[in-house]
Amino acid sequence: MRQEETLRGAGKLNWIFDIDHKKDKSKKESYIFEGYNLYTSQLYPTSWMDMSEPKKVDRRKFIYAGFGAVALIAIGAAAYVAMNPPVVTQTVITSTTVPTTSVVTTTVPTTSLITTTVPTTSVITLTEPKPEKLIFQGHEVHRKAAVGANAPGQINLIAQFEEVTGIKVEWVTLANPENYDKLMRECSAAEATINLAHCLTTWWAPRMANLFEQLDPWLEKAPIEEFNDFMPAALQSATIGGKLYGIPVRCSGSSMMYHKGYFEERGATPPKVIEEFYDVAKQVTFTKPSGEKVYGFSSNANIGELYEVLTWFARSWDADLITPDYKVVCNQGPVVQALDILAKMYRDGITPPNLTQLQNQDHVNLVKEGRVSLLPGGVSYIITYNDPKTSKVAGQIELAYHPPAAEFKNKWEGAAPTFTYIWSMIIPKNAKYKSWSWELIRFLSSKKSNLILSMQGTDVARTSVYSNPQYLEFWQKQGFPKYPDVLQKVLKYGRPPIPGMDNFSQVAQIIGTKAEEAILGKKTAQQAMDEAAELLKPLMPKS
Amino acid sequence: MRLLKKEERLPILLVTPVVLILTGVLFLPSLWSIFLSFQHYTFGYPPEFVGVSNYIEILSDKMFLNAIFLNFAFVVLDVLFEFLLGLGAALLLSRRFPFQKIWVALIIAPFAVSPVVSIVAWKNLISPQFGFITYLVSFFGVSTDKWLMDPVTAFIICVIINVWREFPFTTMILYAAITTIPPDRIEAALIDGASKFQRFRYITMPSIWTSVVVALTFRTIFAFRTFDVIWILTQGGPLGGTTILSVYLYLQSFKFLKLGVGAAVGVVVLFFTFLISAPYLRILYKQIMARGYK
Repeated sequence: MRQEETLRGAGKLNWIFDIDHKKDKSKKESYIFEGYNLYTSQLYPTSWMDMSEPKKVDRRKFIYAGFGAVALIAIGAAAYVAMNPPVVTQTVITSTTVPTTSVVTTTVPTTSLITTTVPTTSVITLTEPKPEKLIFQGHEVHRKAAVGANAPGQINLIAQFEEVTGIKVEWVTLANPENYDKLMRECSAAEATINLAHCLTTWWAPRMANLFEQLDPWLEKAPIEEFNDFMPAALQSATIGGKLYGIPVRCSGSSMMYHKGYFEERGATPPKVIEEFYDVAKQVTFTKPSGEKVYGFSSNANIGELYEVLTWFARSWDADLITPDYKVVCNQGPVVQALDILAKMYRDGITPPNLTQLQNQDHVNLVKEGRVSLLPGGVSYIITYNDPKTSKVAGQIELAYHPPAAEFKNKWEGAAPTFTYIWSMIIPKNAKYKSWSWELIRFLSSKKSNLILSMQGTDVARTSVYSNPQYLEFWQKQGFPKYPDVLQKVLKYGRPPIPGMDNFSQVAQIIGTKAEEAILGKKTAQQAMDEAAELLKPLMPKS
Repeated sequence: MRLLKKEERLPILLVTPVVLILTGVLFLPSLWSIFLSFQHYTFGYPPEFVGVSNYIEILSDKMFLNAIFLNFAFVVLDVLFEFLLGLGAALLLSRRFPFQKIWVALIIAPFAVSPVVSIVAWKNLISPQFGFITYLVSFFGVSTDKWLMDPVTAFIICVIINVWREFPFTTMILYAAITTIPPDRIEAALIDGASKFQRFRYITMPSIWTSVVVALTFRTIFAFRTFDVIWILTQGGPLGGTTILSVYLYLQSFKFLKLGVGAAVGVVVLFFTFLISAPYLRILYKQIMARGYK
C-alpha cells in the first residue's frame, strides 16, 4: 500500500512522505520511509524500520512506567503527610530526677567586678527526652547579657546551664520588628523551630493566649524561687485573662544619654526641661575637622519604631499616643508638640538625614562611631556604648534624666515618665521539649541569675535586686553611679509606649508613616497626627 | 481526543512526575491562596469566611492603588534599561577583543553575587554617614543625604540597583542567541553594502527575536515580583514611595498579620502576571507555529 502524505508548514519546506508498507511479514522486506523535499527536489532517506523481524518487546517502557507509578505514589504520600502531620507524642524513655542540691554552682574569679555564685535547684522530674539543643529567640541585648558578652569579666550563665544539663543553647537574635514577625510565624506553624522566646510588652495581645504555653501549671510543678519578688506590674504585663504566659526577665526603661566630651567642648549642659532640648541639640551639632558631622540628636526612628521616639518626647508632658484604655489621643497638644520638635530638628540638620530609615543597629553604630551627641535609649545600653572593645566613645557616654516639660519640672523628681519595656520569656504552645525550656527559664529567673543579669546589660524584674548592696557597688565601680537612680525613676514613673493589642504592628506602622510625613515636611505635625488618629480609631479593641 | 501514538507516550510518561510535583508545589498552593483570600485569617485565630471583603478592602486602599501604579512604573523602567544594557553588553561580547573572558566574568558578576549581600553593599556605599560613593560624589559638590529620603530618588535608586543586578541575565540569553546567527548572512549583508545599523536591524534583531521575547518575558515576570531590593533599601518608604505590590503584600501578611488580605493581594498579582505575560506568550506561540513545529 502506498500512501502519500504531504505536510505543509508555514515555511517554505514541503515534504512528501512515501510510505511503502509490506504486510507480508514472512518476507524479509523493509519498510522504507522516505522524505522527498519539494523545495530542493532532493530525496532524503529519513528512517528505516525492519518489519521482517519479530517485534522485540521494549522493556524500558515498563521500567519507565514503573518509575512513574512510584513517583505518583510518593507524591500522594507526601501530600497526605503534609495535610495530616504526625502528632509528636512524648514517650517516657527515662525518668531522671535532677539533684535537689545545686544544679549550677560557679564562683566568679575575684578579678571580676561581679562576685557571686549562681546556685539554683530543680525539683522537676524530667520525663521528656533530653534535646541536643534548645533554640532561644530574642534580642541581641538578651543574648549578650546572658552570655556575658558586654564587657570583660562577665559571667556566661548560658555556658553554666549547658555544662550541667549537656544541652546546647542556640540563639536567634533579631531587631524588634523582625523578632515579632518571626515569633508570630513560629507560634502559628504546625511545630515551632524554636523552643522558647522573649516577648515584649507591646506585643501582648489576646491572640497570645492561643499561641503561648500557659505557665501556671509549670510553676506549680517546679516553682521559681521567691516568685513574689517579681514586680507585680511586670507579671501583669504577661498575664492574659488572669493566666500567666510569660516570666519577666528584662525591665527596660528609656532615658537620655549624652556624649560628655562633646558637651564639654561646646560648653553645653544636658537639657533639664524639654523646652531647652532643641537649643541644646543644635549647640552640640557640629562638623569635626576631619569632615565628619556630629549630629545633635539621633535615634532608631525607622517607621516600625518611630512611635517609640515620638512617645519619648511626648512623655515630657506625660502624654500618650494611645491611652491604656485604648483612646486615640495622638493628635492632641503634647504629641503634636513632640512631633514638631522632631520635625524641626530634622529640617535644621540636627538629626541624621536618613533618620527615618535608621534601624536600631544603625543608630547604635552611629553612637559608637562618635557621630551623636544626645540620644534616647534603654538605660542598660550605657554598657554597650561604653564597651572599649567595640565603641570609639567608651567612657564618654553618660546617663541623664529624661527632661520633663517646664510645668512638670518638680513633679517626678526631675525625670519625666518615659516608656518602659518588659520582656518576658515564653514557651510557644507548639514547641518541643517544654520541660527543658522551663528549666532554662527557671535558671535564668533565679535570684542570683537575675542579680548577674542586672550587672551585665539587662535590667531585671526582681525588686530585691535594686536594693542589693552588690548591685549598687557594681555601678559605682563601673563608673556609672547614676545608673541605679536613673533606672529606679524610669521604672517608678514610666509605662509602656502603647498598650498591647492584636493590631499592634499595624498601629505602629500607621503612626510611623504619618509621623514621617511631618518630619520630612510633607505635612504639618497636626495634619499628620489628625490623619493618623482617623486611621487608628477603627483598629482599637472594642471594650 | 486522539489516542497517543507510541512515540508520544514515552516523553509524556517521563514528564509526568515533574508536572505532578509542580502541581503540588505551585498549583495547589495557588488554589489555597485563592481560598484564603476569601477568609479573615490571622495568627492565633481560626479562619473565618468573609466573602469578597478582603478584595474590597484592598481596592479601597489608596496605598494599594498607588502600589499598582508604582509596580508598573518599576517594571517598565527596569525591563527597558535591563534590555538596553543587556543587548548592548551582548553585542559587545559578540565581538572579539582582548581580555574578553575577563569582561564576560565582570559583566556576569552582579548576577552571581547573593542578592541580599549585593543590596546591603549598595546601601552601605550610599550611606550618608559612611558611604564610599557618598565620599566620591562629595568632591563634585553632590550630597547623598536625601537620596533615599525622597520618594522619587529612592525609587530611581531601587531601579538602578535592580538593573545592575539583573541585566546579566538578559545579556547571557541574548549573547547566546547572537552567537548562533549564521555568519554567511552577515557576510551577504556586507557584500550588499548594508550599514551597521541596517545589519543590526535586518539581520541581528530578526535572528534573535525569539530570544528577545523569552528574555523580556522572564524579566517582566520577575521584575513584577521584585521585593528584596526595595525591602532592604527602603522598606517601602519613604512616604510609601517605593511600596510596590510585593512590599504591600508583605506588609499585610507578615507585618499586620492579615493573611487573608495578603492572599487577596497575591491573587491580584497573579492576575497581573498573566495579563503581562500573555502578549509575550502569544508572540512566542506565533513564532513557533510559523516555523512549522507541532
